Amino acid sequence: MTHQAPAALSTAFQEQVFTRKPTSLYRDAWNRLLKNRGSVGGMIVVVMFAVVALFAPLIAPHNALTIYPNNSYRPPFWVQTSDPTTSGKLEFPLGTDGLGRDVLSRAIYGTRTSLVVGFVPMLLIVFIGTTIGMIAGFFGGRVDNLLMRFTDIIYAFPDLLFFIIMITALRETWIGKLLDGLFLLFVAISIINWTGVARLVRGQVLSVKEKEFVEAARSIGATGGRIMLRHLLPNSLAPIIVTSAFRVPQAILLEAILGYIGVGVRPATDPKSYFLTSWGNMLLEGRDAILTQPWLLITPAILIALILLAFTFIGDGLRDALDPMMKGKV
Amino acid sequence: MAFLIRRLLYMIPTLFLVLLITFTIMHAAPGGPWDVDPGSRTADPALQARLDRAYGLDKPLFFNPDAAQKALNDGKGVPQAIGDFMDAQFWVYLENLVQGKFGPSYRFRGRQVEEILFESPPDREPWQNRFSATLLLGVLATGFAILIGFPLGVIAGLNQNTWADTISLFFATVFYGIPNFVLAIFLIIIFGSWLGWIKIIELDYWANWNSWILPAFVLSVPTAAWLARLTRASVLEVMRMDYVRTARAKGLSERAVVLRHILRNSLIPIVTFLGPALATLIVGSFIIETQFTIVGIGRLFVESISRRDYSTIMALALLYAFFIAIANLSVDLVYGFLDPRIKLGEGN
Repeated sequence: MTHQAPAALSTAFQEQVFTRKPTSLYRDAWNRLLKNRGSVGGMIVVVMFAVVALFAPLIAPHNALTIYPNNSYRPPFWVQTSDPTTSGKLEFPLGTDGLGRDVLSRAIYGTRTSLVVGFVPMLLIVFIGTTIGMIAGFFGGRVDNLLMRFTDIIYAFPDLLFFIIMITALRETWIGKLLDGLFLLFVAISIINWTGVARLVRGQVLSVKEKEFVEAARSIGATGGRIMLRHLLPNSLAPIIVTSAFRVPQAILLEAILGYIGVGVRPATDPKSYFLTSWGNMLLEGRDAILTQPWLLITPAILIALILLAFTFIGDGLRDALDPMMKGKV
Repeated sequence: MAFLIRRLLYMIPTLFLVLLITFTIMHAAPGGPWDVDPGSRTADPALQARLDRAYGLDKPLFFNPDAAQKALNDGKGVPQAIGDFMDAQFWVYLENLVQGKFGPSYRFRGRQVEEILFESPPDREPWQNRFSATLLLGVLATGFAILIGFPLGVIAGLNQNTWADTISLFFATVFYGIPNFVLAIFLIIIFGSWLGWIKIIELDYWANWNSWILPAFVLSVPTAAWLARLTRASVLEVMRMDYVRTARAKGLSERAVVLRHILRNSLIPIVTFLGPALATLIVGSFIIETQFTIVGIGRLFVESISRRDYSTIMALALLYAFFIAIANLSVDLVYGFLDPRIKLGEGN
């Protein structure tokens, strides 16, 4: 009887130590991410924006394109003046623009455009960049040299200027009219911005492909494609995820800048279309009224700042979570 | 030296491609420099044809097979035919460029692009031109970025995990996330519309030196925030080094440790950051120039595109690409200079 006790103890001890479920890198990272207050806040903001974008017709009090005559340039509802024509109305909570369209509704519909502009080019950029970086790193030699020279050239391009040129040049053509001009924006962003991802993936692949498990895969006869997809890609994924998180705000900002200087997404004309307006367009409309009607600028500016901040905090948190060695570094 | 020469040679295909692509896209765009109103895009055809001839816009874009055929038919020989084959807008432009000429502007008729960029108006000092306005804005912004970002990063790094660190890092992240043109909107509304401290439309920046402060500050903010984060990380890394422990162990004062050992070594990544930062600030200033109505090359670029001023667009695209290429090169050079362990030109 007496010698039973230590045995039981050791079993309990064993269970405690050895039966803890193994956790994957991504589960670990997810747990770390949830502990990061900034990222959680960022994710909440992004989810809220996503909900607003999805249910825009239900949330928005008016259609973004409906013009209300005799209601142009109304201030937000809390601004009351003696003149009833320029006084704020509860019907238009954040006021109206020069044509008499509701600013709040326009902002709500603009969320759609901004989120789509954030995510679609990001996916394209990651796809192009990963493919090129993977091929360059895996095959090495002449292929690598050629692809990387090409990457260097694209990298040296003044990107913002390229977007402006490309969009101004093509927006009146049929390409520029696809998807209300969104297609052109996606293409312009993706053509230039993949270089960072390509360099990153190539660096990862160069180091991973020397590892023993890749050699093992090769020695049992795995094909090149299989090695790339099943071994190199999963092991390069963490930095790709981090960098893609930072691509999203970059593209949103780009849309806003291009909109502000007047070469952004084409304003929609059909009130039933899905992307009625964009924050960039709203900035452009507010630009000339900055003295008298500053709220036209303030609303989209606050929204842009908010969503960019949210993504920056998420990106920061993702980097700390996925790559603890990088914690605190830029 | 061989490395430097090779890198400079690498710049040539890059700049050539920038020119080629800019040229192709701009000429593919509908409309032309003679349109009276960019919205309607109409001009008298006869006048347009005469202007086209005068500026060489009637030539084909890239190749001129008709002229080559004609030269062959007239029995002028193959070399002349090849020369005529290349008698097209793009090659004529390159030929002028190699001689240092950016060509005539289509928007400011009768003026050369280099005059527009580098010559000041008659009532100004000779160095007060468009190019120097952008350059000054970039230099001031870089200065602001260093003055704000570096101390903030050092304070945060030296006091890791204290309230000073938390606050600095928070502000650095926030201002890194907020784009500067959005910040400019807020500051113009606050200081211009509400407080009336600055003019919303400043007509003469050269006459009023204070007017540069706000645009340069706004331009510098994201860079300053990034620099603060970079400095903090760098200080944290250096503080863990053995030589810092050695310095403390041999009884140096904290002041000497911080100044002579930590700060000096944490400067390495920061110095490499400055070249590209200046380039980014110069290239990226066009939206700030537009917002603050500064007459610089950035604003000229945006205006030239909508007016289809081909030669100005080409010149500015080239100039910007050149800045970026030089900045990328300077990083590699400075790295090798500061840290002799990094050998230039060997692998990556």
